[in-house]
Amino acid sequence: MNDDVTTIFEQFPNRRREDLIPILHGVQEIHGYLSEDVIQAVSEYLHISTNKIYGVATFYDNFRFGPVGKYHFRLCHGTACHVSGAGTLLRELEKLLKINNGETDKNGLFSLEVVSCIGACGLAPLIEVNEQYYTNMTLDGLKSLVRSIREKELSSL
Amino acid sequence: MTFDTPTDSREFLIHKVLLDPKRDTEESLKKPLSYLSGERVHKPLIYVGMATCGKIAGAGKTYLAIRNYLDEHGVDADLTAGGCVGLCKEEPIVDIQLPGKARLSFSRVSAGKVQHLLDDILNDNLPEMPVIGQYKNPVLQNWEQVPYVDDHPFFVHQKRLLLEHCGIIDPVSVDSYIAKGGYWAFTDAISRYTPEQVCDIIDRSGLAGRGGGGFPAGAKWTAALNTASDQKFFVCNAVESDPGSYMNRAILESNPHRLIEAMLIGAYATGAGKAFVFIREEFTLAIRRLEEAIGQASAYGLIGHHIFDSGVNIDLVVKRGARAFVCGEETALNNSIEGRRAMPSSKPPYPAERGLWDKPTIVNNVETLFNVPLIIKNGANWFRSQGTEHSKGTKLFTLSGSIENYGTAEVPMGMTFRDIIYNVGGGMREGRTFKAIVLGINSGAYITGDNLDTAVDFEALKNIGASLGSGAFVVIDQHVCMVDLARFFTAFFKNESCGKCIPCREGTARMLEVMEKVTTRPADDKSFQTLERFKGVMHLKSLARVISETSLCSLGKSAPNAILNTLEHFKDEFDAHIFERKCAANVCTDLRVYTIDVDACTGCTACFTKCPVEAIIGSPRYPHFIVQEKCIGCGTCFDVCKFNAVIIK
Amino acid sequence: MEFQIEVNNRMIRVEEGQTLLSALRDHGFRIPTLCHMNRFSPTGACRLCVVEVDGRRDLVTSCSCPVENGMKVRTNSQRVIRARKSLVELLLSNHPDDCLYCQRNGHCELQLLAEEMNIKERKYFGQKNRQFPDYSSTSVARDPAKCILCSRCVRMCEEVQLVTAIDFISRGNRTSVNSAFSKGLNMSTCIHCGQCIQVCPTAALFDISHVEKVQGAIERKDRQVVFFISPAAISSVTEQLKLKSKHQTMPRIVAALKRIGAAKVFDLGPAIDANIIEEAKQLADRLQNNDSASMPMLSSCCPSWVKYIETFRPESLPALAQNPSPQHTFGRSLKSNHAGLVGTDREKIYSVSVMPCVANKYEASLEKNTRKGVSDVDAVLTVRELFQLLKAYGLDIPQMEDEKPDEPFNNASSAAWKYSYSGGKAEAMAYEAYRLLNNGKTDNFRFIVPKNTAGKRETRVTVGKHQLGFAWVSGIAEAEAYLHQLEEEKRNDIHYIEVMACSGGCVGGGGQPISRGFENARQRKKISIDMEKCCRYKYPSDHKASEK
Ligand SMILES: Cc1cc2nc3c(=O)[nH]c(=O)nc-3n(C[C@H](O)[C@H](O)[C@H](O)COP(=O)(O)O)c2cc1C
Ligand code: SF4
Ligand code: SF4
Ligand code: SF4
Ligand code: SF4
Ligand code: SF4
Ligand code: SF4
Ligand code: SF4
Ligand code: SF4
Ligand code: FES
Ligand code: FES
Ligand code: FES
Ligand code: FES
Repeated sequence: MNDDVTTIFEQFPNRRREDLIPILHGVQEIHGYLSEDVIQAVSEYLHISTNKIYGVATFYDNFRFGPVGKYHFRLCHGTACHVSGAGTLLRELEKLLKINNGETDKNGLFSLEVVSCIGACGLAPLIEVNEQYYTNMTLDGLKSLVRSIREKELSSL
Repeated sequence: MTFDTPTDSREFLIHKVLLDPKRDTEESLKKPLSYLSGERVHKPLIYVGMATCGKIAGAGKTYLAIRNYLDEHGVDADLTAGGCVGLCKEEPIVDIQLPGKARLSFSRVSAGKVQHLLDDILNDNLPEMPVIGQYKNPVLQNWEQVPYVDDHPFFVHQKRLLLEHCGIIDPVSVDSYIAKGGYWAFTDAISRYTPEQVCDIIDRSGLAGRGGGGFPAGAKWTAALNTASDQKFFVCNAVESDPGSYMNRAILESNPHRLIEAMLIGAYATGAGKAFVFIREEFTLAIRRLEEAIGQASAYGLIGHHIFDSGVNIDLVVKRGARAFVCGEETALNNSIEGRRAMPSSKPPYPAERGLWDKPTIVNNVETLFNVPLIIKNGANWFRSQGTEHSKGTKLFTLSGSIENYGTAEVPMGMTFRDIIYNVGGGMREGRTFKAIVLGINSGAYITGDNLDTAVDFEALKNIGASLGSGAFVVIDQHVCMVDLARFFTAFFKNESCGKCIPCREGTARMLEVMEKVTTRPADDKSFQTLERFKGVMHLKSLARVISETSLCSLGKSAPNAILNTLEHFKDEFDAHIFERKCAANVCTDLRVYTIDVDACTGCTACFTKCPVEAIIGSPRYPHFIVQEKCIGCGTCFDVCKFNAVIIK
Repeated sequence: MEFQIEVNNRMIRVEEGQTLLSALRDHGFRIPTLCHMNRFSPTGACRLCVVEVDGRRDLVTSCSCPVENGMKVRTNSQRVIRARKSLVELLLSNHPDDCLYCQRNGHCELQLLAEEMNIKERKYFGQKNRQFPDYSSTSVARDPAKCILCSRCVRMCEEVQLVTAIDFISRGNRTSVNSAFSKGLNMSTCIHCGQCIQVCPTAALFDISHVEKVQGAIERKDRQVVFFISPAAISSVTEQLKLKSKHQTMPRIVAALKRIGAAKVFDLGPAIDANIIEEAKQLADRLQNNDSASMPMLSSCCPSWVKYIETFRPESLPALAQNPSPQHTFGRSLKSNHAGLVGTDREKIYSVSVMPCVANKYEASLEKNTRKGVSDVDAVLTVRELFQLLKAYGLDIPQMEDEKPDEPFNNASSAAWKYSYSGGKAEAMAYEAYRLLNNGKTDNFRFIVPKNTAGKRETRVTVGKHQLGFAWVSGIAEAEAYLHQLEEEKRNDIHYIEVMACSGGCVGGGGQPISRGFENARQRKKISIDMEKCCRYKYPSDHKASEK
């Protein structure tokens, strides 16, 4: 296992069950997702079976088991965003990116995740792409956002 | 040099302030404290509201622009990333305080306006820019013709007990918090009161939990105190994952020391040696500030071993959640801290008797706890005198939706919902008509036009079948389809159900399927599908009743509320969807029926060629027709027709 | 303290500390349950056990509710009945309607509940569960589409077996019981004990069936099918069919198997005797060589236990006995030494064991138990499958004429019966070891089973100046706890530990007919003990026939 995972383990010398989620957080922050190898390593370190770890990790929306795309779209679908049309945005986004919620496209360019309330309901509906926020989003705004990303990617080829 | 700012603030604050019983009356402390708290400054002080919603509104860029300006012009000024005053609508908000002058608060300062703002203000000129107001201060020189912040319509109706420091002090400065009176209650508690007495004060204050249940905090603390155990835990529930509320996050970002103080008091009162803040993982800024604040408090000896020689040991740890709404339920939360799947367990036993690792554990909401230092400082009777007969104190709301002044507001218990919208909230946004308020996803009933005069009060809300909920306050207007909203809530519950018990796991899925049948149109509406739809709707109410009656935790119990509410208050909308298959708000796009206006149609064939299912017939230059049986309602023809001949019914 | 509670207008006496469910059941009230398991802490997951309690707004789950003095309970009000019925209807709403083709048809708790609730029409239309079955394991098959997420298997695997080969994956109605990365049970740490099958209320878990394989072999003219039957299987057939004359069970099974075309039917008992004698020799050797590294010796006859050691406790491998289980002692000797007996070549023998166990299926598939690609044991039938096989041929065991098992493997000591329950083998082992260490003299052999054995199942046997300690545990959690305790206390007074993976031993085996609770296993143990009395010899070495 890589050194970076070992450094995370070192922060939890007591190897307790309660360290599981913090360790998974730490690992995901470094690797971007939880791979089988990592889960195996955590299992050996904490003496918890891989099934248990997988069972815990899949319970929470935070953990991923594959990498996200270069552009990670997070669409807020909280109450305020929903009543401001986030549902329509989601459908449009799925069409534009050609992936469903929770998926990453084949090229690893886009991934889409629906989150609940980002915490700026007044500016609803809200989209975050790689920590850039787009507020009061409209269908047209969405289309041009995706178009500009695609164009940027094409020109950099 | 005058003793304006003590050279060793740590020494000063601990020994002259926190540990000195004379501090309350000592006049000589006032001046140094006002410098430490930032009320007075030696050089210009600039605050940028940098809580999450401010950042999303662009405060980060504003901050950078100010930093650059100061560097370029070689200005000697302090720049602070502050918290949130709650008026999110006016973000980015920049406050400026010049030596000797009252603090000014400017609204909507985008990065581009920074130059203009600073050019003027640093030369003592009031720039011509939208200003929220100035802060009243008797010892400083006030600005002429600038209104007071307190008189701003958003603030004037509020009662800001919990928010008193939010957006005003530097969130991660233990000095300014202590200088504002912070940690005084905690040092009082450990030096003057026994744990029993603290529990008793909280009990007599009538403080009720703000996490949704409204359970008396004092009773909970007393139960834990009275349960003998070698170990106890004190947990703050900062999960706040109700989509539509973020006031817990806002106050944590703006005043993390207040929570730490409250938890120290709570841990002392219940005999807990270890305290956890269980916080939603996405609140990265709040987590960062909280951890920084914990570091500062530890460095001052407020947390840890043998606090201020009192023999009290309290450890405080931040635990990040991993995203699951159900983590907010206290037993699920405890399971999550233990590193398990966050599935609720049946109560009894209650956590106060058997919680984390089977030890007595107090779980309290952030807002509940924010009240605690105030109560200790001002006494139980003072708190009892606030609010109404049944509900004491104030309540925080996250105002959003079609309300003019959106943001975080604190209102006294007893204020009516009408007043919140039309006074604090500044009324509906232009062109919007009020339809309902959704008080969080867990709350029992919507507030509709009929009961808009209900007061914010546990009893009053119970009488109309609602509950205070988490503090979300989403104002719904005429453009929202209530059937679609009910479907949305049902989908939320279905996704967030932990899956442990049958009624919630299967029932929410079935309810959602019914709601989807109601709000969409099947590709071909065969008779059995109509039958299924009717049958589903027919059983909806009894299904809802079983789910709310038999579910293990309140998530399942409240899952059917949205549907029941809609059936009760918006039955006609529901019926229109079921029988006429119409959505008046035009939200359920799937129900739309497309037809062609023969008079407007020029026969250009654009729609004919684009329809994906060949549902359009006609010859060039003659009006076209849509064969309804074939049409799937995709809307392509509507989009392509240049002559507005395709109409939606 | 005794409490009084009122149930459906009747006063009943209950004990303080009891759950409402156990109190109600004690008094004969029928309360349906799905997630409840005796001896496990309640989870309150299924909600089927709800009752109405005066003063409580919501319905109360009786399994997780402690009784309170004077409480007033209604178990059969309209509200309760409607709620229960709806819960079952909800379970059915996405259930594959597959009863006709289902493993559990007729024995399924869900099916029974649907009948009991008088469900005659589909009320809720839901999307059907669509998950693929998992046949990857050599012993346990899974059909997640039929899983109702009661968590019984998960708790069994975790709390009793400490294996956690399966767990809940994902959340809400996407939850499934699965292994890590949903990879299939063969990639998991499963030890094949089959206890999860035992507790599953539906056909979401069942055995990898060998019935059709056996049928195929019977039909092939060039195969001689040889059955050998474990005594533990016999006692459970007796128990299931409630046969009065216990010693007739074996002869009738023999007759039935002969009817369907078995070439030979043997009793596994003699192999058990041989197994014990062999293991006792190893024990005596280790004792005489003062081989403390491999002490206390751990029994190796339970394949699940062996797999557990290999996977989770490799440091205990040296302590494990070195002989194979009786099934393979028999299978191997049949194919290598006794082909003549069957009157054919080794290649033409098709050996079928009838076991109380699904782990034996896994054992038979192991590389070390095959020669030239052919296993010593070609097929393993669980008791459940034995019934299925005979049913397929329209045979009814009680109706058969008696027929004796074939010579020469038809005569075992009572140890063969002891082998089926926890502690039995330890006793026989103690006897044989005593004999070896005491120059063949056994007059003073005493094996005293302590009366109150809760948590501590061990006894001492005096051989000359020496005291030998024997212990027996069943269920992996119990075994682990015991071994841990020995290590903690640095004890070296225990020399042999019999470990059975299934609680109570093979009488509660994973391949036994599905039974709820421990009553059936207790019954089977009683039958075994009765059968011991009919044996001519008490211990393996008491008669020569077993000394091969
Ligand atoms: C599904 C569900 C979600 C909840 N979410 C929260 C939450 O986000 N924050 C919170 O403080 N309480 C939440 N609660 C309430 C807690 O279970 C608990 O009652 C509360 O934290 C107690 O604190 P209080 O007494 O200070 O209100 C939730 C309850 C349920 C059933
Ligand atoms: S009601 Fe829903 S969230 Fe609560 S325990 Fe049951 S399934 Fe889980
Ligand atoms: S709505 Fe779509 S399917 Fe219907 S007529 Fe227009 S293009 Fe064709
Ligand atoms: S696109 Fe419009 S104008 Fe052209 S044929 Fe269709 S309906 Fe008529
Ligand atoms: S598991 Fe039970 S209910 Fe389901 S198909 Fe099989 S017999 Fe029928
Ligand atoms: S009982 Fe009815 S359903 Fe069953 S096989 Fe006979 S006819 Fe068919
Ligand atoms: S067979 Fe035993 S070890 Fe394997 S999953 Fe079932 S209970 Fe667990
Ligand atoms: S597999 Fe069987 S025992 Fe396990 S959860 Fe599903 S239904 Fe219950
Ligand atoms: S105890 Fe018996 S039935 Fe259970 S796994 Fe072991 S050998 Fe098989
Ligand atoms: S609902 Fe989208 S930011 Fe709150
Ligand atoms: S974040 Fe500043 S007012 Fe909302
Ligand atoms: S979805 Fe209904 S009024 Fe629309
Ligand atoms: S048996 Fe009580 S909830 Fe399942």
